[in-house]
Parts: sequence; C-alpha cells; structure tokens
Amino acid sequence: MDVDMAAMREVAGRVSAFGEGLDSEPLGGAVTAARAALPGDSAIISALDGYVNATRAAIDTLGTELAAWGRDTADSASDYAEVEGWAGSQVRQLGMGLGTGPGRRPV
Amino acid sequence: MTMRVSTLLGWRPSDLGGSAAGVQRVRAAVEEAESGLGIQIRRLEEVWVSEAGAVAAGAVKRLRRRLAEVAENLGPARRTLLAAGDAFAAAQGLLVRAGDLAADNDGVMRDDGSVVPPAAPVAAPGGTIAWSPTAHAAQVSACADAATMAREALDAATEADRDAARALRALTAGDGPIGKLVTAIESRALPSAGADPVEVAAWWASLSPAEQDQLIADCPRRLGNLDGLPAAVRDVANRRVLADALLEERAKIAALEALLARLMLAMPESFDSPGLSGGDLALPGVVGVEGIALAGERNAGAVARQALAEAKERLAMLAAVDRQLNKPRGVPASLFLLDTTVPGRAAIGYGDLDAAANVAVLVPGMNSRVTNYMGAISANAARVARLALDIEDNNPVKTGATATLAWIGYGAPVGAEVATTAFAEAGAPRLASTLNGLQAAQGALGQDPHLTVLGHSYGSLVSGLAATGDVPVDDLVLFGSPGAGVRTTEAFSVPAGHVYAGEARGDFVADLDAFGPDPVRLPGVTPFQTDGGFHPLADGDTLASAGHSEYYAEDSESLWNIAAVVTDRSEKVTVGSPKDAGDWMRTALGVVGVQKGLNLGWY
Repeated sequence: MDVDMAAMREVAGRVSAFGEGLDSEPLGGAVTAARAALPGDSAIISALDGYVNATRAAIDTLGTELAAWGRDTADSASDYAEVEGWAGSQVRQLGMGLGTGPGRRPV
Repeated sequence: MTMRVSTLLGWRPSDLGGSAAGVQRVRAAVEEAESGLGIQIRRLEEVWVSEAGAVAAGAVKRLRRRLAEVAENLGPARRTLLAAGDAFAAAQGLLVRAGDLAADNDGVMRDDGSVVPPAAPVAAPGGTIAWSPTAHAAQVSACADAATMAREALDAATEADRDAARALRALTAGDGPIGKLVTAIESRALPSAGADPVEVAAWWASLSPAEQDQLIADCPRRLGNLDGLPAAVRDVANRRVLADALLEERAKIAALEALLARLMLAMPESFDSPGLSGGDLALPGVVGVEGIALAGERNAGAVARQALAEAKERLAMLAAVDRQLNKPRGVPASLFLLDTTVPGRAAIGYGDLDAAANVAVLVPGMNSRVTNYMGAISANAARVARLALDIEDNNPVKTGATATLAWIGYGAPVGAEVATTAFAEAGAPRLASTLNGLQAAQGALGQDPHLTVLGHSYGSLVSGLAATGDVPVDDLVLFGSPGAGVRTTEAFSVPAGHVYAGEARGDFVADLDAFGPDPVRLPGVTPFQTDGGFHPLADGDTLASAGHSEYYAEDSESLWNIAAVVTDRSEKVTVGSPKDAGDWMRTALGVVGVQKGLNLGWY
C-alpha cells in the first residue's frame, strides 16, 4: 500500500472542481435561441427542449457524482491520515530524526 | 404540422446557429473536464496505490467515460441544428423566389403557398381591350410554377423540421446514444438510505437487468443496506463490501505492525516510556526543540498502537461476519446487512428471504454486538430454519418454505446501559424498516410472506416498540422479556391473538418487568411452554429450557413452539407458563406494594 494523502486531497479537490464546474446552462440558452429563431409552429422546439432537459440532467448528475467522488476521496485521505497515512508520516519523521533528513539530530 | 408561408418567412434560420453554439459551448466544457479528469486519474493511480485506490480510480474512470459519451453525443445535436438551419434557409430562399415570380406575373400568393394568377381582362360592353392571350397564358403558367416552387419550399421546410425533431428525439430515446446514457445515469440516482422500502422495491423492479448489474458493480455500499431491495441483491453487494473491508483492514494492520517494529528498533529505550507529552517537553528551557521531536516519536508509538488496536477490533468484527457467512449450517446463508463501522451492524439470512412463505427475524438482547454474538445468533437462526424445514417436510399440511434472519441491526446496550430504553428506541425504527423492506421486496414479486418477529430479552423491547408502529408483522414472539414497552397488546399493530410469550424456569430477567409488564401475563398474549414434555409437532418429548439463554436450545419445547409460530402452525403451540421463584417474589412484592401504597412501577 502506498498512499500520498496530500496528493490525494489535491486530486480530490480538482475532481470536485470539475464536477462543480460542469455548467449545463448554455443548453437552456440553446432552447431559448431556437425559440427566437423559429417563432410559431416548429417540431424542433419541443424535441430540442426534451433533448436539452435530458442532457442537462445527465451532465448535472455527472457533476454531482464527481463532486461526491471528490468528497469521498478527501474523506479517505483523512482516514489514512488517522491511520496509515499518519503512521507513514511518523516513519518519515523518524527517518529524518535518524539523520536522513535536514533539521533534526539523531535521538 | 402544416407549414404556412408566413411561418417560414418569419423564421430566422441563421439564428439557429446561436442555438448550436450553445450546444457547442457545453460540449467544449464537458470535453475539457473529461480531459482534465484523465490527468487526475493518472495522478491518482500514482498517489493512492491500494485496493481502495483501485476502486476509487475505477469509479472516477466510469464517470469520465460517461462524460466522454455526453461530449460525443452533443455533436449530433449541434449538427442537427445547423443542418436544419441550412435547410430552412434554402427553403426560405426558394419561397422568396416563388413569391417574386408570382408577383412579377401579377399573381397573389396565399399563405398556404398557392398562387392566384391574374384574371383575364374583360372588356366593357362596346369597348375593346388590348391584351394578348399568349401573354396571359404565360402569366398563369408562371404563377403555377411559383405555386409549385412554394409548395416545394414549404414541404422542404416541413420535412427538415420533422427530420430534425426526429433526430433530436432519437438522441434522447431509450435506445439512442444519449438516451442510453441518460437512462444509465438516471438509474444511478439511488433512493436514499431512509427511503420508503415500497418505493425502493418499485424502483429496483423498474430497472433492466443490465442496469441492476451495473449498479451492483458501481455502488455496493449504497445497495447493501437498502431496505426494499431483494435479499439476493443485498447479499452480492454486502459480500463485496465485506471482502474489500477485510482486505483494507488487513493491509492497515500489516502497515501499522511494520511501523511499530521500526519504531521499536529505532528507540528501544524510549518507545515504551509513557508520561511525557509533547507539551511537557516543550516547556522553554527544559528540553527544547529536540525534546519536542522526541515527544513526537514517543507519541508515534502510542498512537500507532492505538490505531493498531482499533484496526484489529474492526477486523475482528468483520471476521466474525465472514466466519458465520461461510460456516456450513445446512441452509444457505446470505449477508443481508453490513455496517463496517465499529461496533458494526450485520444480519445474516438463512434460507431464501426473497421467496420464503414464512420469514422470521431474530432480535437479540443486551451485549449482542457483531463481534461477540454473530456466531450465537446465526446458530439460532439456522436452527430455527432447519427445524422449520423438517416440520414442513414431515407434515401433510404445508405452509411453505421458511427463511430466518439473524439480525444485529441495532446497537445493543452493554452492561449498565441496559437500564435505559434509549437503545431500543433507536433500534425499533431500524427493525421496522427491515421488516417493511422484507415485505416490500417480496411484495414486488406479488408475494406476501408470513412475517414473525422473535424478540429475546432486551430485544423483546426493541421488537415490542417496533410492533407498535406501521409494520407488516403477522406474529410477535417475545421471550425472556423484561417488558416489551407496552401495557396492553392493543398497542401492537400485530393482529389480535398473534402475540406469544415464553419464560423459562429460572429466567430472572423475565421477571424484572423493567420496561413494562411481563408479556407472559399480558391479556391477549398466548404464553407458551418451555418446561419440556410432549410436543405435537415433534410428536414426542422435548427438552426443558432453563435460565435466560436456552430458548433456542436444540430439541427444546421452547424452540418447537417458536418454530410452530414461525411456520404458521400456531395451533400446535403448547400453551402455558411455569411459575418460578421470580414470579412468586413479584407477586409478593406486588401485594406488599399494594398494602403499603407504594408505586412499584409496572406492578
């Protein structure tokens, strides 16, 4: 097992940001623009409306799931910090204390 | 629709480009996110190398694939809009030319595209008019051409409109590319943990087998404990969760033991020196920076040992479930519930919970935690299931197959905690949800199981409280009960005459009346024998139970009576209850209490 908590958190944050940044709003604008372009009776409008609603739902759901994934991963990083991750850091600190790192003298 | 001239001329086909541009903007954003995720996935695989890391990477990879599919399928939508715009522009151009042609020939175009040609001039009486029949015929002909062109333009626009709409709908249809994606994504919107089991069952039944398989693969943690899902589905999901948790915990323990070994080697003298904290050593002028570092390393040993102890505790809990799940008990086992957080919750089913005509849930009492009690309650549940199987096999009157559930689904009180009803009040809703889930899962298949709750000791209080709510319980059996939280059986939602209570000789807990009157003495309760002797279902003698913990004992009269109720053969229950020292003492106390005017609780 090899875990870098800080990097995990960074990845989690970026993935969350991708999820939260997914903006399906311009699709709503596409329907508005189509209504303005085709006033009156056009079959495209209702079909486009349905397409946009479904696709926006898909994008928004994916965005939510990505954000949730990011949160779960950040939580996992915290869990590791509590056990393995924490233990790993102690090992590294100890190594530094034994003379393999700067700023510490052997004890 | 019928396309009109005014409609087509009122459209601004080039503006559909703006609509297509909106689609393109979203597509670009989705592609950017998808590309960025690729980088993060590669990074993740470098920095989180473990079983859990692989699972997490797999999950985000699946999300990335879906994003790529969304991006890919936004393309056809954009192209459809642009193509429709081009087609409308062409049709509009043709219609304008038709209008011009009609106008040039003195024709009048109507809104339906037809053209009224100029009339042949009529000379006034006595007068003359100069006109050329040939020229007029040419005008009429041109107007007819204009009408044809207009019809073609209107038809082309109608067709383009219809084709574009059809193409867009195809993208969102269930079998279209986006449609499949949307269906897959929407199906992932799982009901929440506390959702109505009936709705959960209906939602699950609405999914295709492929969608169900995908969800089990993607979300075992969320499905495993979802009341209303079939037990078979929960079993697959929970076994995966259990396997992952066991791997993870064993890896943690190995890492921590390795750390402790290194610490011991590095600091054999100071490793086990308790007492100094970082704060103590950081006192100015005492030991300085080196002391803080030393304290940190001492804490490293202490904290690592604490973490190791916790990991071992969790592993013991998980292993207890794993052991029982894989222990041959004569009836197939399934993992119905698994909460991996210490002290944990778990439930193992024996028999087919999704198909059995009779389903019984065993609710244990105090001190029944997963680690220490999963074995005992599993043995009891399997014993009831096996006996039910024997009874069914050996009786001419059939009531159907039986399945049992060894349920440690609430945090049972430990030690002195038993004095409070708080644990039962917290557990009763969980039990109610479990019962409603069992009913709903079978209900989705058009079945209505005969559902029995078996509450032992403090578990009888949990069962009693749950049975006061909206639960589909057909029979309630309480034994070794210190009170079921009610003063009258009318408080139960169980059908009248379907509450049973047992008390073994020497079971002092059953005489405590701590949480309500002894159920054995409640009007409307059928007391059942536990003293041993002839039992009609056994068609022979049975053994006596004694004390607080022998109600499920093999060949006991108590077990036969429990099985009689569980298999819906309550007419075979041997009725009656022994009166032991505890009962006499209670009677005496009650008399004294009345004589002295004391309030002795439930007496």
